[in-house]
Amino acid sequence: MTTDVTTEAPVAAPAAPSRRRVVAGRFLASWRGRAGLALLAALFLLAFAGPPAAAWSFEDRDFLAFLSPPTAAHWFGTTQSGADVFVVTMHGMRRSLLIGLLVAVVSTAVAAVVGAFAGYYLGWTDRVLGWVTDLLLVLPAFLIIAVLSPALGQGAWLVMVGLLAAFMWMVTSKMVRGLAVSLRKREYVLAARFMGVPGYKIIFRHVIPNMSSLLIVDATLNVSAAILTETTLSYFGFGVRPPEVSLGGLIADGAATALYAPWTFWFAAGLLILTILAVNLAGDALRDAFDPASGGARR
Amino acid sequence: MNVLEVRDLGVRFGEVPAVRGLGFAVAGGEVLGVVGESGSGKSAAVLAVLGLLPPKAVVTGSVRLHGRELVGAPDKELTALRGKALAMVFQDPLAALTPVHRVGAQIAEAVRVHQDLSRRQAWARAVELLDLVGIAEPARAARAFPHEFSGGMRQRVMIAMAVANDPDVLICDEPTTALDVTVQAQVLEVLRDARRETGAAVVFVTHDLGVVAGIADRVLVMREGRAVESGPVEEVFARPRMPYTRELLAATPRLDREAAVLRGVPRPPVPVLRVENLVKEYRRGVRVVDRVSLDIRAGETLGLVGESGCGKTTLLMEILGLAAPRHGRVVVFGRDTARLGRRDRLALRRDLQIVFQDPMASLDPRMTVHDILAEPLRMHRLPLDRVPELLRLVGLAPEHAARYPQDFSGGQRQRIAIARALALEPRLLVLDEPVSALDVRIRAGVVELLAELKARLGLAYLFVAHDLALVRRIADRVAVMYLGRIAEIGPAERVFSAPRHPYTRALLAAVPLPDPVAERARPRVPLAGETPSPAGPLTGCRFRARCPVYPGLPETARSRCAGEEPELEGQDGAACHHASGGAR
Repeated sequence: MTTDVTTEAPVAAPAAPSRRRVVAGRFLASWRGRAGLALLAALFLLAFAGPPAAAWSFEDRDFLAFLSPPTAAHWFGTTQSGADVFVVTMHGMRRSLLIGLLVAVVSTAVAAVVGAFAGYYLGWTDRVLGWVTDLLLVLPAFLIIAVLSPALGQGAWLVMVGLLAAFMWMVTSKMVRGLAVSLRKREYVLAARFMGVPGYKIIFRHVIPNMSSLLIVDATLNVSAAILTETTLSYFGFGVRPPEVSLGGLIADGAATALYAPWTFWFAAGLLILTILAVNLAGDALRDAFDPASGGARR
Repeated sequence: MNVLEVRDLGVRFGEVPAVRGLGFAVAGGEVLGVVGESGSGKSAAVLAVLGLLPPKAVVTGSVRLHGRELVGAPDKELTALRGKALAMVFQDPLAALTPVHRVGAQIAEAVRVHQDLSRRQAWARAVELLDLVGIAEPARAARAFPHEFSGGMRQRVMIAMAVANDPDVLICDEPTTALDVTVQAQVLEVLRDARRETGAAVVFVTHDLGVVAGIADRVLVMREGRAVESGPVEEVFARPRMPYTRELLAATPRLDREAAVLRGVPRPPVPVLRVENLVKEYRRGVRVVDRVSLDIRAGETLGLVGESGCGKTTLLMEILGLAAPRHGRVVVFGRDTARLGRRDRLALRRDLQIVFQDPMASLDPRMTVHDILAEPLRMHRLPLDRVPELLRLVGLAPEHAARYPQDFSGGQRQRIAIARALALEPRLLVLDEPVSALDVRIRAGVVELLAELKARLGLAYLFVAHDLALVRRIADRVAVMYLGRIAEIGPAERVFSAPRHPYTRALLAAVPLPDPVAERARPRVPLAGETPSPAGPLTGCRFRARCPVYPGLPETARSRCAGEEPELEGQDGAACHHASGGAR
């Protein structure tokens, strides 16, 4: 075969039009993708570059302005204790963004990997992974996090991310397993197997990408779910612990004064809504970009 | 007297015309065959006649049933006609039957919608209809659910429902496409009976010229929404006027005219694949593949044929799995699969590749063509610059690499699948029904490509197909499988001209010829029944329940068939105690 084929003029390999590049191109071609990405970038920029730019720091208390409405000095106003709402909110958003995104990515990744391995290999792999999944499903997640939370050191928010993610992936992984069971019989999976591609590579190359729509939708939902769960935990005092703050804790604090000092509540709540909106827009665009069949802007 | 008259029919979906200026007329008791490739607008045309197109479709022109205009008629009026005066048989009988209701109840419902009968009477009529379409034990079958029926039986049920109200026009949209040849022959027979019983005008839509030749009185050839040619079936087949019709006829392989390749040439000496007494059991005792032996030599094509459920695909998967079989041996390029390490197995995979039936399902929809073709190369650490070469080898442009599989037509996708299989320069290519999902002209192109590649690259093919005429065109040797066993094997020339096994003879007899005169002159001996389940107890010859020879045998010969399983001797013969060496 080589002799035959190579007699034809050898061609310089064109730039490999690989999936990553095509997906990125299509993601940026849709207004949702651009808007969502821009909004997310803006929120991140605000959360990380905002506090240094403000005149106040996180620990500062303005004893001349308790519960002041937004002014030139305090852009978002102040709280009852005189803390600058802008700085505090940015700090909170920093945590919430990181927690939300990390939890979503970690839990969806765990769901995809566990589900895909269980569904692709079946047999003992499936059984063992199934037991683990079921076990985690029956554990009362909220109680466990509540019990463990005081034991965590201060600022151990990464452990919090791990805990939240550990209790969020099971239902998705069951769905993923079902999909993987049907995908493993697809001819392109068989073709890859007959090429000699090992199972784990097939899972990451053919099985998981072919359920990316499900996974992206799931991750998007998980961002908001993670932020909201963390909010609930913080409300009960089990989440991110003072002096660290998160949007959830701020909303809980602000709710008490929301009626007569709306700025203590609405800025945090508004930013939470914006965050979730941005994630959803980006998620939708990403799903369309991954799925060549899902119409919309193509090529 | 024309029952159905269609004049200047047009169908548009938005700006895209699907049917343009189509006209035809059918008289009572007459069969009009509508032939065309996919996308020719034949289905859109019949759906327009029935008024079943989605609301966004714009229908113009005139459709008259007994002189009554149907285009633009209120939906209520059409509903009253549909199922009564106008009946339809669809391609996929599983999708057309509700899985949760009994078959009898569904037929009875079709009867009661249009006739004022009691439940009991309607049920009795349903049983009668099942009997009419040749279903054994109709009273019991009526109480069964659709999933208990095979594809052929479901299609019979659909026909029973269609003729339930004695329709004036019966529209059949590819009614036998999903069926095996032997079952197709049975269903066509049932349709002939149904037409005789009801005296209905039949519009028979199909892509298969052989089927049209057998059943139609007149034929209408469609292309790109227009009628290209129409006339009496004998005339169109014998003296096609339009180049397109001629092209279609030329592209259709004919069982009676195909000359098998490489006549009288001795077999090449080097074996690439040897299967010895291979057994695949699903449960204990259920042998889907039972003691199968065959071999393929370098540069040779073995055609493997048989009805669905005969174990062809399982056999392929066993071979391609390169795992140690439970019983028997698989030797690939001189290496026994039972004694392969991981590395050996990976190395062997380079020499053994597969092309699947459905090019849409066998290409990962999430990968670009470049990634698809690069996958085997990456796996085996070969340079990726072969991708453009591969595309050119199968007649595609290297620029196509950036696109996704869905941007290509079926034939092009199959070329991509072939290119992927060739990426590793295999010596044996397994082709699992590689062209049966394609249109006849595209099919001819892909078959030509396969023949050319074989000649150029010295490939050996294991070619699985149910289209016997096609196998005759491409195969050097043929193996016929029945219920997990090889019924007959031998050089293609010998098997097709002098089949020894009654099953081979029956299969060959069931293939419709695209020639109305020859097709109608052939004695019709449809093989009764369908492939039984391999789960049943199998003693003696497994074909004897359907065997046309068996009933006519003397008592002693019959007891031999029942008690002793016939074995296949060597690589040219038939597994039958009464194998005849004579011609068909």
